[in-house]
Amino acid sequence: MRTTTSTGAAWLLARRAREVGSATLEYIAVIALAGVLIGAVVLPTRSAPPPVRAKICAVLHALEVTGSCGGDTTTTPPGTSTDPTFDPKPAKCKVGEHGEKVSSEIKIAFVKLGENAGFVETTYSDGTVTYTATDGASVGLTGGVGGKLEIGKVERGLKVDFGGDFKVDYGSTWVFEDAGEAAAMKKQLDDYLAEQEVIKRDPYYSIKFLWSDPKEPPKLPQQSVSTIELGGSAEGKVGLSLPWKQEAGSRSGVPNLALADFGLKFGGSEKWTQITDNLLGTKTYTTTGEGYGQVNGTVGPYAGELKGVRGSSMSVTRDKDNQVTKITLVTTREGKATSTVNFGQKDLGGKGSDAGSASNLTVTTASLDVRTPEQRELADAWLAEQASDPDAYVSPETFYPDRLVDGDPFQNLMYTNGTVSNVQYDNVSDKTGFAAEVKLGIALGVDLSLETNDSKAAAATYLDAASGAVGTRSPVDFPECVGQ
Amino acid sequence: MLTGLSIRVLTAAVALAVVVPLAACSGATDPSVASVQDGRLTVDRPSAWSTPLPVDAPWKVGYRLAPDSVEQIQVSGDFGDYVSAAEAVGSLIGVAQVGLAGFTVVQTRDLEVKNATSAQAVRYTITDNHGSQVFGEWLVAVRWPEQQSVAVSLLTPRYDPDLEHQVVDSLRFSPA
Repeated sequence: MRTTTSTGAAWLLARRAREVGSATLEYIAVIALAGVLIGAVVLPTRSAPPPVRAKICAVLHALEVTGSCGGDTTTTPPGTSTDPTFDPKPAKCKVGEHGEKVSSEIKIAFVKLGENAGFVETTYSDGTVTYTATDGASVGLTGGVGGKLEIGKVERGLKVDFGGDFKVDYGSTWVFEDAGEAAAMKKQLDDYLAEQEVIKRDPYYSIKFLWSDPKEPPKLPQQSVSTIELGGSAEGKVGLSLPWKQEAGSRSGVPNLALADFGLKFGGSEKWTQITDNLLGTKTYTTTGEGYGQVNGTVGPYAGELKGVRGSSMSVTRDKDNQVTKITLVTTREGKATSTVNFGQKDLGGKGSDAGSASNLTVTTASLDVRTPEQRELADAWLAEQASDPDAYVSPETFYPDRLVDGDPFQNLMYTNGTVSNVQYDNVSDKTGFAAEVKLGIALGVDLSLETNDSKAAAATYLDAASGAVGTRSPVDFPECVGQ
Repeated sequence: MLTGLSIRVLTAAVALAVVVPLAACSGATDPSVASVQDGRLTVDRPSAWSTPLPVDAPWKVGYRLAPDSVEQIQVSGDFGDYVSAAEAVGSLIGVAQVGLAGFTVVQTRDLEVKNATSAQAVRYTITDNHGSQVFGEWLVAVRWPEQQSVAVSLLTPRYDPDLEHQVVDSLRFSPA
């Protein structure tokens, strides 16, 4: 055991050799500086005198947040993306992608191991194979969105026990380049489990390890799933006992939420599902939402989901350095994929305006790739507002950004830089169950173009590019997302 | 053939050969450092941080410099079932992101810890009620496929690289 702090330079060198990775202090400092600047410029946009406002708007344009500056003279029109590479067409109608290439699932099979464990084996068109851990009850399951997993078990943090102390979380996924690699992993696991069983029964078996190595376990899953419970003391959960009482409700200063009269509030369940990519170190945190807004002059939750919205979830993906890289808002709503939706008036609870669409459900996925430090600063502030302000909620124009809302920088970013797909299912018999599957399934990589337990994707659209401050984003046919 | 005296001399020499290095490694020679042990985890702490701290699960033991001091350490020799340090650290970050004011990750880096298949250190800052930054760090080590894990949480009023290095270097993970 090392004992003191006085061992000098050799000690420091040895330590540095042990630590792999790159410091991001300077990067954080740059972002912090940008944060000060942004915080200074975003707040007074609407109230500043014209010369000051023009400068503020110039900064907002630089941030690709262009909707709040109507009437200015900068070259980029408000409500249009300043990112020339932005393509409004989503890569595919699902969030998770295991293969590097965009590929479709061509075969789903089940690999059973023991009584209560197995894998869902998914083969993709580019040859990539994934194994997703599931319990015995799910082996042979063909229902659910994508026909893969019982999402409730993922949310409950169920463990799959393969025996031999080899346990993984339900939904954990291995990714292989081809079927041969997948088969080799299965054989390796079989051999490992068999030897573990012998070790357990024969105490003298381990003597052979004096001259031979034990069987190696398979590599860890690339994607693992865990559940985060936020109830109780946050500081206690993270190993802190703070000598001060934390103040609730501190505001980020992003004035976007006061403009929404109703919307979705995320995180109210105090439960998040964490999906970790153990290869890349990225984490995706997903939580569900509920309808929220002003009811009889009082801000609070609606009795159920926002009317017309059957289920919703928010996913935030962070890289190894905890930088936000993607925000995805998923809603399952009544209505068709081919129409622009009016979520209605606040006193009606956001009733969908699609006529004759009672039997249609559309899954809308609004996804923002956070590419620049400036966008990240805005996203961080927006997320902080969601977390710290008990009255914060997400407006319909944010989770369905088909029009620009003046003075709402984050909504403007979703409008100009977010991809939005709509996949419509007809004649869904269990709308509530369907929506519950979609809530988390989309973050796990469920392909919505597949058929579900009681319906097929009947139509799909995506929203075209933003067309300025007074325009809208119109639905465009997206045939690649309709099951064949 | 060894005589009785030879055996006693040899025994003493062997004992010295064993005891001296152990004493050098134990920390007993430096009164400013004390060792904390919980389950599979052993780690050093400043001996001045001797005020016991009530902790919440999965944390097991905690000490601070004084009642209500910022300076504190919490450890857990059985932190939970995680397949990787990234997953374990992600759960801490997820809670802190929502529950701690001003939470910002400063640096994430991989560590090499004997007997662990992955280990990470995360440095972060939070803000107190006066808006001042306070510096924290988590160290987590995980062993796959057993999913054994250990963790350390540090909090100081300012970043102390010497303390950080001392704690990192003293971290020992003993698998079951």
